[in-house]
Amino acid sequence: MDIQEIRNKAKRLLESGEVKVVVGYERGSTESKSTPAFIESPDDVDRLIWDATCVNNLAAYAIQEAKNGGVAIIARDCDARSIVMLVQEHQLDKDAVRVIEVPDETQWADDPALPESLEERRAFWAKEFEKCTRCYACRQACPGCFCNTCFIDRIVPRWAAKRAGASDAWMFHVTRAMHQAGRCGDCRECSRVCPVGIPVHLLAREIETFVGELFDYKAGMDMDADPVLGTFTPEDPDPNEHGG
Amino acid sequence: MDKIVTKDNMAAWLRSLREKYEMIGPVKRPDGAPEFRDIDMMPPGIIPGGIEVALDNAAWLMPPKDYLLPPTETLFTYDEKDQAEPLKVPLAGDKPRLLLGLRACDARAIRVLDHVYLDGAFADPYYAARRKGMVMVGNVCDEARWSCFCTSVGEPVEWLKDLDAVITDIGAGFVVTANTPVGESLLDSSYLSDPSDQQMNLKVAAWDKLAAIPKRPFADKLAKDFLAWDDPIWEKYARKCLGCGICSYLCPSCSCFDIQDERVAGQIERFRCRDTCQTCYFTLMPSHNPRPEKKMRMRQRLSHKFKYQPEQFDIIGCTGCGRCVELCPVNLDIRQALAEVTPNE
Ligand code: SF4
Ligand code: SF4
Ligand code: SF4
Ligand code: SF4
Ligand code: SF4
Repeated sequence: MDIQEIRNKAKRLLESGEVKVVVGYERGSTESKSTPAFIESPDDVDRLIWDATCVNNLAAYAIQEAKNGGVAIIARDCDARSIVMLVQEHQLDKDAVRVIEVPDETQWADDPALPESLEERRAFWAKEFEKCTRCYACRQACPGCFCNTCFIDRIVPRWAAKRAGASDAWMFHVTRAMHQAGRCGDCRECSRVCPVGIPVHLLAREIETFVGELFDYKAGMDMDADPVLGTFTPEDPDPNEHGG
Repeated sequence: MDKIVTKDNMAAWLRSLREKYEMIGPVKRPDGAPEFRDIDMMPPGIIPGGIEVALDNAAWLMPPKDYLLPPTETLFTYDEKDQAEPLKVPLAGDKPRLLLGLRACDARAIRVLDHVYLDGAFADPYYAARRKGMVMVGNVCDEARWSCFCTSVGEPVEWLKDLDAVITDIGAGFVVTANTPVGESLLDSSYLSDPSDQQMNLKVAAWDKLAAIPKRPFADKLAKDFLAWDDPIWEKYARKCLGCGICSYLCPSCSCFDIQDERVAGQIERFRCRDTCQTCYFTLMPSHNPRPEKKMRMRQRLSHKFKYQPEQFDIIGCTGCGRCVELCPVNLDIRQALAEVTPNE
């Protein structure tokens, strides 16, 4: 997509006063990196770039920036789903946010192949979780992790100790994935930011697959749809009866 | 004292050191990223290749501090029922450890940690136990990474002198320089021989090259009390910070920890784990959060390293290793922030 087109859109939105800030990408501190840019003046739109270094899901800034007035966010499809999801979850006023759509040209890294059997999968994740530093960067980068206080940071009740090693990390990751049901747009930020290379997005993706199969629901597709975690009907399928 | 070891003999020499020491060194992970880990656990074949790869400064990712300050460390345990029983306090270490592949900045980071954990009246017994027998062997960086800025915060060639021994790659082999008696004992091996004058010249050239890494524009400010409490840059930079803590978890000189208690099967355990000033919970009090906003946490991180630690220990708490620069998921580059701060007059 032509960068000039993005800049023009940003300029119009700022000039018309429709938004106070455009969140996009600008050149980072080295050629191979971009960094999030907060453009507040139409004169600054030329700072915006769009190339292969633009990988962050900027929806992570939506709540913060919407507090100061309207915000426009440059978003790929998966990022736009995060924004729609935040509106559905009543975290974001839909009138306070605009999306500047960009095509998804991300060079996604190959996903590791998950083993078929449950036993082997358990071993796969145990090995991955063993590396986890419990920095929670995956959570911080995830637009779906918008809680003011994450369950894992609670002292009362305490769900797991903040201990390195697989067993407590297990509690964190599995619960976080469950909480992404109907929220994960597969932006893979959680895995991208992880300093030790754990492919955590695969957990949320697995949950999304169940959500799709059981509830015919896909995260962040329809602003007016009720979020799947927030609704219950007596007809809801019971995952336990689906061998889940 | 200087010796030379050929590339062919390097692996054999290192292997011979394993008889006496538990060796921790930079090895390549299956995903390609090097990290510090226990070389004993590696299959034998991986040692020569792994070490050769990692003796350039690609071995930067995981900081060596994990071996002084494990991510989680039990402080004591006691039996819930039998409280008359004394506390069990596990202190580290039987076989002495040898840390291999430390860069000048890694050595400096351990100096910073030493100040925090050993200075003054309250030396930390857990850290002290690990630190005591630890042997540090480093190497001279061949190239600065894009993110490095060691010469802007100090003199890396001086920092190398904190190491017991320093390995310099001179192409045809490695010059190994001992700085301490322990270092000399490592060099007492038939795999090493005396270097020629020409080989020594190559070593000196490599050290000079390290010293000549250009300084960043902010370097001149560091001598002054240059960080202002209300500088608008705190807010500007904090705006894009995700509060993910990577910059402190992987910083080789960040030293903060949290303490938690846990009860498992009648055993009460108190342990410490990593903490970072980049989360809203850092030093949170029941009635008060000293740093409720991101800009305050950003200010804390830079001020701690560039103001408070120089005041407290007469040392800059940042070694310029570049890990935070390279690993920050939003490219929040502290070098840009430092360049932008308005110096206090
Ligand atoms: S980012 Fe990685 S290391 Fe940090 S908590 Fe998440 S999975 Fe663990
Ligand atoms: S891929 Fe990861 S970061 Fe992105 S929405 Fe899903 S869980 Fe969150
Ligand atoms: S602050 Fe950054 S550059 Fe300085 S020592 Fe820590 S990780 Fe390295
Ligand atoms: S206060 Fe922050 S910058 Fe200082 S050591 Fe602790 S985590 Fe690192
Ligand atoms: S690594 Fe970057 S985003 Fe994460 S806490 Fe540090 S400065 Fe903020």
